[in-house]
Order: sequence, then structure tokens, then C-alpha cells
Amino acid sequence: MAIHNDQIKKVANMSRLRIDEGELAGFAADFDAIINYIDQISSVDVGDISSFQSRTKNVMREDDNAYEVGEFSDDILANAPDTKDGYIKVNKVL
Amino acid sequence: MDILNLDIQKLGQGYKNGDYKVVDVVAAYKKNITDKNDDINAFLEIFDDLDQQVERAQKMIDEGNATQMTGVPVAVKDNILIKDHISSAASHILKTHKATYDATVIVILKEQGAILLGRTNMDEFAMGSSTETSYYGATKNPVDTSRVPGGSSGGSASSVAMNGALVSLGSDTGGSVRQPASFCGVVGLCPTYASVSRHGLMAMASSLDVIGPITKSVADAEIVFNAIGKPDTNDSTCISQAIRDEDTTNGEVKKIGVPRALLAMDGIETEVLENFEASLEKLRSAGYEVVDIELPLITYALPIYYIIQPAEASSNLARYDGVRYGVRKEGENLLDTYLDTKTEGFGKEVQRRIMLGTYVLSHGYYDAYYNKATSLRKKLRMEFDEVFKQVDIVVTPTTPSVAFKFGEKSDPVAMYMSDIFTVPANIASIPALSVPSGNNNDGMPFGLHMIAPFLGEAKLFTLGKDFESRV
Repeated sequence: MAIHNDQIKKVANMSRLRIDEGELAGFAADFDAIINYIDQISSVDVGDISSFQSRTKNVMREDDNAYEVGEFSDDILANAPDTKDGYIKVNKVL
Repeated sequence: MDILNLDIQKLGQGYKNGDYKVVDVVAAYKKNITDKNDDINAFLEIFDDLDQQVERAQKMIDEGNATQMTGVPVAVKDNILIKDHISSAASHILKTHKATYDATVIVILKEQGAILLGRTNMDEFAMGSSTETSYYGATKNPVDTSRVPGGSSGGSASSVAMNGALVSLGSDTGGSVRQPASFCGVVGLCPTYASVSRHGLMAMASSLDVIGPITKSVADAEIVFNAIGKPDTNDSTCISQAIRDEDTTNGEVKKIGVPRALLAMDGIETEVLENFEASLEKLRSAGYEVVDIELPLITYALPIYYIIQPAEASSNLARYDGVRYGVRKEGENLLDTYLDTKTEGFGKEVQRRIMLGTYVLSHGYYDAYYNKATSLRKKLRMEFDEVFKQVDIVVTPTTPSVAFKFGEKSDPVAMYMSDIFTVPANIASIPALSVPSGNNNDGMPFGLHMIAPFLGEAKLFTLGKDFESRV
């Protein structure tokens, strides 16, 4: 299945990326090759994995031991591209 | 005595005996960095607080509080956070980002008085196998500077190979510690998934990422792993002490398995296969039983990887949007700010993988790609578990070729094939080690790749040390 330029545009938009018209064909060709490669798995049968047991566990950490409000603010704000009065300044969201 | 050619144990002995001080050792490494780094570009930055670190380490030694890692010069990959230092994952978008906390592995190393020399170059956001995608220029392979050092931890591997550090920390998601280690003729360990805390490692693919050491010897890799491979409540996936304690895997190695089907694939250089067979001979002569084994899904590990990894990476890299840190390209509205910031801030390979991940996770494809890959992944792990009932270690070459020349792998799929031997371990969440196994006629290093069961690092160290002594 060939990947069309339109599909690249759609995926790029979802990824919040701009792809120049001139680069679309290149991306589509690369994409095509990669998708063809990963498509191999469609022919493989998974079989029975009901006995699979993971050795790692994800745990829920309690929200106790809260830090003092403001303890890390200076460090964090120091990285922000634009700040005002202790807030990170961004474009209008609404 | 050549300070630059000691291993961790001997270095520590010399400190204890007073043969030299930390300041002497660090000066020797710094000189090497000054002489070589302009050319090699292994280091992006040498830290400006070395004097304080040296003083603190010397104090620990003088007061008898030294550990094995005290005074050991360590280079750290640019995606591991060190408080108040720039951590950029070799990207444009994080060029100005200063870490606001220490990664857990860094907390551990600082506590033990290791000397954190600086941050090393890498493929941007750990996406690559050659360090050619770094925003800050490529790193050269110290063995042959017309060739790549491998990736994504190419700077880390080069820093050790050029004697700019005794130890380097890298990250391994599909081979990014082992492949560059093999290309540069040094040792690379990819520990069991979740055995080393990922707190403070910039996430690429959260179910695959592991921090691992690159060193000159297996014994050194073992020392570093023992130091950093600790439980951590800041990483909820990090294996608890209870689970580590109740695991019964020992360091015994008697039988070694070879997955012949993987070796029969296209694209593996003849000289690699010859070196591999020679390595097997050495193992047989040493008294190990070497048998063929079957892992039916192992030849699918790479396509499985190139579904799961971009999918998880596309999610993990969504946070890099210019809002809270890093470079922001202000647009007319919020959407434009996102589009402009990301388009300008991310390199081509990163954009490609984010889009690939978005595609395989999108409506209509999620089931066929990500879900299927996740199921196949469990199956492969079950196949490995079965195989490890018959053998102690599975071996392959580390890479399908020696280090290639710059620009040689311009096609993405050709580049991805570099990981064909290393990826299965990450997919199965099990540990693997690359040990130098000789050189080709051009002097370029080969690597022998050993895969062990979950929490089976002791087996890797047993076999690794034995093989190392016979090369």
C-alpha cells in the first residue's frame, strides 16, 4: 500500500509538524519503505499468550509527602521561554 | 604507571596507596579530552565544577569513606539529567534547557564521589545508530575517524575509546549502548529493563529504555551496574528489592545457545559471521557447550521494535513544545507556536519517527500495529523464557557489520537494520552485553553479543570476563 502525500500531511498535522510541499514526496517514500518493513508482522500468528507473566510491576505512588508550594518554582521558571509574575506566559488557549 | 590505562579496581587501589590523587587522574583525562575532542566531538561540554568534585572525592578517599566509584572519571550521555547543567538530548529544541533535578543514577554517582566530567554527544533524542543526527555535529569513531562511532550513545562510546573517560553512561532502547560499544571496541551493558532507575532519563520509549554503562572491561561494567542498579521509589517501574532478592538466577554458565535463523538473514557481512564462528570456537575450547536454538519470533523483533518504539516516542516527545522549557518559536496563535517550534526544533529523523508513531497509533491502525506488536512482544519473551530453560546465555554478533563510513546508511530502513541483533533483548526486557571480539583487516572492532535471562546479569559477567580473557 503506497503512502500518499495526503496521508503524510494528515499525520504531520496530528504530530504538530509542518512538512514543506517540496519535502512531502521524500517523507512519503521513506514512510512507505518503513511501513512495508513493519507490515511483516501482519503475517505472523500471535498464538496463545495467556500464560505470559510480566516480571515488572507498575505501582501507584501515594500522593503524600507533598513539597512546600513554591519550593521548585524558581528552578522551573528559569527554564521557561517567557514568564510574568511567576507564571509561564503562553499564547491564548481559548 | 599509565594513569589512563587502569581499570576501576586498580584506580581505586592507587588512590588508597596514595600513588596519585584524584586531581592527577582528572588532569590526565582532561588533557586527553583537550587534545582529541575538537576532532572526535565525543563531549558536548566539559563541566565547570570539576575542581569541587575532585576536592570532595579526595576528601572521601583521605577519610577512608571511598567506594569503588570514588574518583572514577565518568562521561554522561546528554539525555541524563544533571541538575543545573544543560541537558539537550543533542537537540535544537532543548538547546537552552537546564536540568532542574538530578537523575537517580546521578544522585548515586555524586554520593559516591564519582567525577562527572561532562555530557556526551548522541543521536538526537536517542533516535539513530550512528550519532549522525545530533544537532551539534557528528562524533567520530576514535578507531577510524572516517567512520561513525555508532549510536545513539556514540559520544559515550567514543569518550571511553579515546580515553576521555574511564566510564560512560549511555541509554539503550534498541541497542544504543551495545552497538556503539561494539563499533568502538569497548564493552557495553544493557541491564535488565527496570533494574536501573529511569528517573531523570529523558524518556524515548518507556517500555524499552534502559541506562547502561560503557567501559573498557566487563569487570568495570559490573562495578558500575552494581552501583547504579538499585530500587528507586521515584521510578515506579524500577524493580523492588524484594523481587531482586527472591530471584534465583545465578552466575553459572555451562550451555550457550545460537539462534541460527537470525544469522541467516540478509545484510550480515561475511567477516562478521566468520568472527562470530571464531568466537564460538573460543567458547567451545573454554569448555562451554554451544548448541543451536530456536526462537521463531526473533527475526521479527526489529519490525516489532519499529512499531513500539516510534509509538511510545511520539507520545514521550509531545512534551517538547516550547511552552515550559527549551527553544520556543512564537507563532501568531498557540497552534502556530506548536507547529513552528516543533518543525524548527526537531531534526528530520525525529520528525519521521514521531510521525511514524502517530501513524501506527492512529484510528484504524492501532490494532493492526501497536496492539499486534505488543502481543508478539509477549510471545517473544515467552520464547526466550523457554530457551533459557535449556541454555544459560544466547549469543549473536553485536552488529551486522563493523562501523560504517559517514553517510553510508542514508536510507532509514538500512540504518534500522544495524539493530537486528541488539533489539530482541529490549523487546524481551532482558539484559545483554557486548564484548570486543577482535578486529577486521582494517582494524575495525567486532563485538560478541550475549543475552541473559531477566535479572541474569551475573551470567553475563561470568561469560563476559571469561571470553574477554581469551580474545
